[in-house]
Amino acid sequence: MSVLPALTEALYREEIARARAMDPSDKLLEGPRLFQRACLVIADGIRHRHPDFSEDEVLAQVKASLSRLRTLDDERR
Amino acid sequence: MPYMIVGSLASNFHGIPRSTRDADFVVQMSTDSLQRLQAHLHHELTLDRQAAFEAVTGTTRFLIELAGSPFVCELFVLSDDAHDRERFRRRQQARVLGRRAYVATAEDTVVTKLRWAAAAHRSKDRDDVRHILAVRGEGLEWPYIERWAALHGTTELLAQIRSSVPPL
Repeated sequence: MSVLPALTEALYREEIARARAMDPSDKLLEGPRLFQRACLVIADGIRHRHPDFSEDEVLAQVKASLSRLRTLDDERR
Repeated sequence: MPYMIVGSLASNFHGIPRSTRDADFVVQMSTDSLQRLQAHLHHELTLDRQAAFEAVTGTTRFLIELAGSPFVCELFVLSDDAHDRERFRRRQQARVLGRRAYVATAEDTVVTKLRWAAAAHRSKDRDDVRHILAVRGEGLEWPYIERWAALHGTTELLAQIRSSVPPL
């Protein structure tokens, strides 16, 4: 029998306990913080693929990727 | 300008935080208030006056972009939709970064996210609902949620998500 469902549930319980212990305002601000970290990783990937890009071009590429995601979301609305 | 924080920031507030690429607000304004808003914005913020229509609640949306950042703010104009009105009336006060802020309640965030999950089939809305139910548990005002879910045709979806929350 797989232990994966039990492990997943145990991890989820831990996540819930952590969230309950956090200040709600800190949780709210965690969203943009996590996003910023994700953008840094995306930007690193773009720099790796395009070492000739300027910082403006990297930012434009990050924005373009996110804009495509937004368009997909909008199409569902 | 009367407002409230909605969307993923509100679900982070009540549930389990996740990354979000935008900050969503419902604002009480008429479209001619835009000029006034634009005049008061910080110089690094740009208001995109091109409105988009959001079909689920029939509201209008404007974007505010921050220079040098892919993060955006979405302003949803308070609509005539019955639940949109009700959740705005029930918004709660909170302290965010030392300032007073208004956030949609946990119950109203659940009701709205259920609607989105049903209409747009976005798994993140479903996850957000699950997380709020898990974190807030039985402390939620269930008759209120169930009443709106019945009106929006999301009762079955609510039951599915509720049954997926592990006992704590």
